[in-house]
Amino acid sequence: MSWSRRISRRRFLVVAAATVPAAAAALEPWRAIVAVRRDHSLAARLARLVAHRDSARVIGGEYLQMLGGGVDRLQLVAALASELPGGHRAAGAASAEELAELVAGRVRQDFEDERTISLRGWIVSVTEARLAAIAGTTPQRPAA
Amino acid sequence: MLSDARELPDGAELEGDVCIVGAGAAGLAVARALIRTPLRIILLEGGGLQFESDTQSLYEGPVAGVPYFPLDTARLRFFGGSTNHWGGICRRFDPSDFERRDWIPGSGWPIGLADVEPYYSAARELVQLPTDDWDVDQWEEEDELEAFPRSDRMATRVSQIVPKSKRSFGSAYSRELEAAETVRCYLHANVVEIDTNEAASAVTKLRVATLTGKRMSVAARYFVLATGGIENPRLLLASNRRRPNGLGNDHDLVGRYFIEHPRFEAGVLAPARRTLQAGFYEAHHVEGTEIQGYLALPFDVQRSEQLVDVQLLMDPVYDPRFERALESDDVDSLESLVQDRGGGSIGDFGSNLMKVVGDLTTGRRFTVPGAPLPVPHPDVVRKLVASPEVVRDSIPDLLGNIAGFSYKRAVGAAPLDAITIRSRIDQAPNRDSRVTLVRERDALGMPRARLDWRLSELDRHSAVRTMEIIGAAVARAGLGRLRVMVDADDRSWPTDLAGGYHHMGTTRMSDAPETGVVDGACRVHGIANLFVAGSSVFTTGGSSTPTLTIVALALRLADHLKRIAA
Repeated sequence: MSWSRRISRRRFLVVAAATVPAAAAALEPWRAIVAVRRDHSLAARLARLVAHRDSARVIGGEYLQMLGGGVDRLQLVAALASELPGGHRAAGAASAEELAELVAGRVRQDFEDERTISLRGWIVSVTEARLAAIAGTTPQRPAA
Repeated sequence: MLSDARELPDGAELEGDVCIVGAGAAGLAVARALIRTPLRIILLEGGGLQFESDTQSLYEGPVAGVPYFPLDTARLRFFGGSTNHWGGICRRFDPSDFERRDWIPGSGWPIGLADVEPYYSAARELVQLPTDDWDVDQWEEEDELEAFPRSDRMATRVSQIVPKSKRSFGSAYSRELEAAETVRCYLHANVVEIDTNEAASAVTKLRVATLTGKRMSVAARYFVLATGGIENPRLLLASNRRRPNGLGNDHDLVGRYFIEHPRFEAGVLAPARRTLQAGFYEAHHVEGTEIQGYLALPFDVQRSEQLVDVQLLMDPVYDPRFERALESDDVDSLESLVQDRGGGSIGDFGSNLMKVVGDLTTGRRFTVPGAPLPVPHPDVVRKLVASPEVVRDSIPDLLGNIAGFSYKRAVGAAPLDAITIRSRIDQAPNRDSRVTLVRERDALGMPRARLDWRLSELDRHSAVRTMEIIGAAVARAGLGRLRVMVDADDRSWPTDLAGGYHHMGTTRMSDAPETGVVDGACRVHGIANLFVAGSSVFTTGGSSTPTLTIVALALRLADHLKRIAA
C-alpha cells in the first residue's frame, strides 16, 4: 500500500483547501511579473501598428496631457486591450494582422457609439488616442 | 404699366383693389399672380429700375449686438429688390421646419408644409429653376459624382441653384408687368406711413413720398407689405398715428424675433485619402441643372439631441500646385510640387493625426503589418483581381510622392488637401433679437431702423454638437477625420461669424396675436385688410435659403387675395 493510498479523501481535501490559497498567494508576485511582461509585449506589438511614431508622439502626447498625467502606458494597454473583442487574451494571441484588424474594428465601433474625444478640436476615437499614446511612448527597436 | 411717381402731380391720390408695397421677390410674385384677375393692382417700388445711391441710403441704420453688415448693403432698393444680387440657391423647407419643436422656444408655424406644398412648384417656375426634383437619391442616380454614404446620423441634402443670368426678378418680369393692363407699377414711390381708421382695425391709405419732394396717397381694398425683414417692421412701427407703439404691435412683437442664418467656418475635414470624392458638395451641373449637396443631421437626431437644424456646406480644397502642374509639362514643377508639399489647411496636428489614422487603414490595406519590408497584403492582390479600379484609386496614397502625382495626373484626379466646412444655422427665435426705430430720420423724414441681432447658446451648442456628430459619422464611414473649429467651452462666437443676408421673423406668423404679428393667412392680427409677404413672416427660418419659400408663401397669399377680393 502506497503512502498516498493511506490518505483519506477527506483529509486530502482539507489539506488542499489549506495549502492552495497559500501557494497561490506565494505565486502572486510572479503572476504580476508575467502580466507586466505580457502587457509590455502587447504594448510593443500595438506600437508597431503605427509606423509614424513621431506623429503618434504628437497625438498621444496631446491625449496624455488631456488626461492630466498619472496614466502610464501599461494602463492604456490594459484599457485598450480590455475593450477589444475577446479582451486581453484575444489581443495577446492575435497575429499582427489580426491585432490591427481588432484595433481598427474597435475604432470603427468607437465612432459608431460616438465614443470620441476632442484633441485640439479633432474628433478622435478613444481607441485611436490610446493607441497613439502607447505608440508614442513605446521605445522603438534600434535599427539592425 | 410702369411709371415714375416723380412725374405724378404732387398730392396725387391713387386708387386700386390691391396695393403691394415693394417690388422684390415677394411683391413681384404677388403682383404677377394677380395679373390675370379683374383686380386693379398698384405696385409701389421705392427705387427705380437701376441702383441709385440716394434711394439706397434710405436703408441706412445703426447696428448693435452681433456684428452685422451695414444695413444699406444688406438688401437692394430698386425694381427686383434683393433678387438683383442673390446667390440663387434654393431648397424647399422640410416638414420639420414648420413643426413645433419642444426644445426650441417659439418654434412652430400655424401652417404646415402641406399648406405651402401646392405653391412650391409654381414658385420653382417663377425663380426659374428647371426641375422640381429635390430628392438626393434621384440626383445621385443622374450624377457622375456620389454623395457621402448616408446613415442614421448623417444626411445629405441638395439645393438647386438658379443660373446667374436668370436671378433678377426685375429683369425677368419687368416687361410682363409693364404690359399688364391691370397692374400699375410706380417707381420711386416710397411708402412713409400706413393710415388706418380710428380703431386701427383697417388700413385706409398709404402715404407715399418721393425724394424729389412730392407727396401722394394710395387707397385700396387690400394692402400687402413686401419690403423685407427690416423695412416691414420699420413701416409698421413708424405708422403710430393711431397706435403709439405702431400698427400690429399691441403685444410688442413687431420687429422682435429677428432671425438670420448665422454662418461661419466651423471646421475642416481631413480626407482619409487624397482621392476622396467630394465634388457632390460643390456647385456642379447635372444634366443642365446646377446643384450643390451639403451635410446635416437627420431630424430624428436633431430631436433626440435637442438641436436646431444646422447645414454644413463643404468647400473642397485641392492642391493648387497640382492644378498648376496639370497645366504644365515641366517635370521640374512636379518635383518642386512634391518637395514643397505642406500640411494643407488641416495643419501640422491634423497631418500627424492622419498619419496615425492612415497607419491603421491605408497601411494595413496595402502591406502586412509588422513586416520588416512592405510586403503586399494578400487582400490587395485579391482586390486587384476582383476590382482593379478600387486599387487603382488607392495607388496615389500608396506611392505618395512624385510617382503618386504623376499617376494622379495620368488619371486626372485632383488630390484633395482638405474640406473646409461652413455651418449655416437655423437660428432659434429670440425675443431680444430685434429691429427698432431710432430718432435719426432719413431723407423722407422716416425714423431709421436699428438692428440688434442676438444669438443664443442653443444656436452655438447646436453648431458644435452637429459638427461632433458629423465628425464621428464621417470617421465611421471611413471618409476622414473632422476638426471642430469652435471651442465647445468658449461662449464667444468665431470672428468670421456673419449672416446670410436673410432677414426673417420680424412680423412672425402665429395663430394668436399674443405670439405673432400675422396669422396663418399672413394678415396682420387685428387689421382686416393688411397683409405681409416675405421672410419677415417666417416663424422659424429653417436652415435652407429662404427665397423659394418666400415666393411660395407669396403665391399662397395671392390665392387668398383672389378669394377674398372676388
